[in-house]
Amino acid sequence: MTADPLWALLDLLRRIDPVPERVRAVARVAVREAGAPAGLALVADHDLGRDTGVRSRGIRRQWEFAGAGTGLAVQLTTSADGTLELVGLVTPAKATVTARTPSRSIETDADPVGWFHARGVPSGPLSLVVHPPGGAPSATPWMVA
Amino acid sequence: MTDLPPHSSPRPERERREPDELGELGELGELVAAARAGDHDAWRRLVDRFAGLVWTVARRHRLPAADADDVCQVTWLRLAQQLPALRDPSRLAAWLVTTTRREAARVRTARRREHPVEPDLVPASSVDGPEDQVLRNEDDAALWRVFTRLPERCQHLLRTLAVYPETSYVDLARAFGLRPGSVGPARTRCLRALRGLMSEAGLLPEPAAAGARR
Repeated sequence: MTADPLWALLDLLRRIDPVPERVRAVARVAVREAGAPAGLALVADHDLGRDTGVRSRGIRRQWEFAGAGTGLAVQLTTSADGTLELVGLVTPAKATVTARTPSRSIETDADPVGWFHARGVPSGPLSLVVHPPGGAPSATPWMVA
Repeated sequence: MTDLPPHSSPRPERERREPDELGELGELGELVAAARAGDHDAWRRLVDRFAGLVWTVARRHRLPAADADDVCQVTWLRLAQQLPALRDPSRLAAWLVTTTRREAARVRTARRREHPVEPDLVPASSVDGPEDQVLRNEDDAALWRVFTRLPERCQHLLRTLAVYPETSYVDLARAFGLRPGSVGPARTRCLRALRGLMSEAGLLPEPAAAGARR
């Protein structure tokens, strides 16, 4: 064994707890996937407790974002199949909201009041992009959902 | 991360040097500028250079591997998102540490509400995982036992130094909630403790072991 304790430790850590290849793979293509800079900042992250619905696995949170003349509040509920159901309110209303994940994007139109709904969103990294009618899109930071 | 030299040619403990003394900041600045300009190879080199640091910070929060995966992915996606606004490459390591730490803490808080039982960093599973296979090697198992006898803060500090030895004291201080002036002494104390335990366990060559006993 080497005389340098740090070197020995590095060697062991690299073998015992290596950076998973899937993490490197996503990181290497992140520069193509990340999209526009985040114009919407997280202003609140609430734990809403457990949902007792039949189709729900019970984890509910609410994120709130603001910036660039846009407001966004979204509830995330983990479904029984492990995917997420999003129910949100966006201003300005009639915007299109895209839920982006590294594996897929789901686009949904908000109603005249601003409510939108998306199902089957993969859990894990998530960023929401708001496309206001006639305006420039703005994105939330990527977050673990 | 650079490859390790063969064990047959151990090297003396490195002197602590700041990154700019090594000309690394200039190279880092070039990599960041190239990545920002759309050079995917430069981006990949940034990922390879800092992936170990980001992973270590995520794992420091005792997240299960799947959550640590997600946190690391989010950190890299955020960096890509913020790259056009990153003006000071010398702040990159600090930015990565801070972003990973905050997201890991947020996820950990959420998961603890969902699953009150905290996962172990190295699970004592009855099913063999890669770590079990590695730890069948006697020296590796002994080093791991020695390492886990260190105070938790020392384990985290040495893990970070091991995977990213170029981390500046300022970044380490921010990552570990220490005063910048106390990082050097903390590093020295932790290394001395590790060396002492390794010597006790017969894991150091004799001259170093003798030096550690003085």
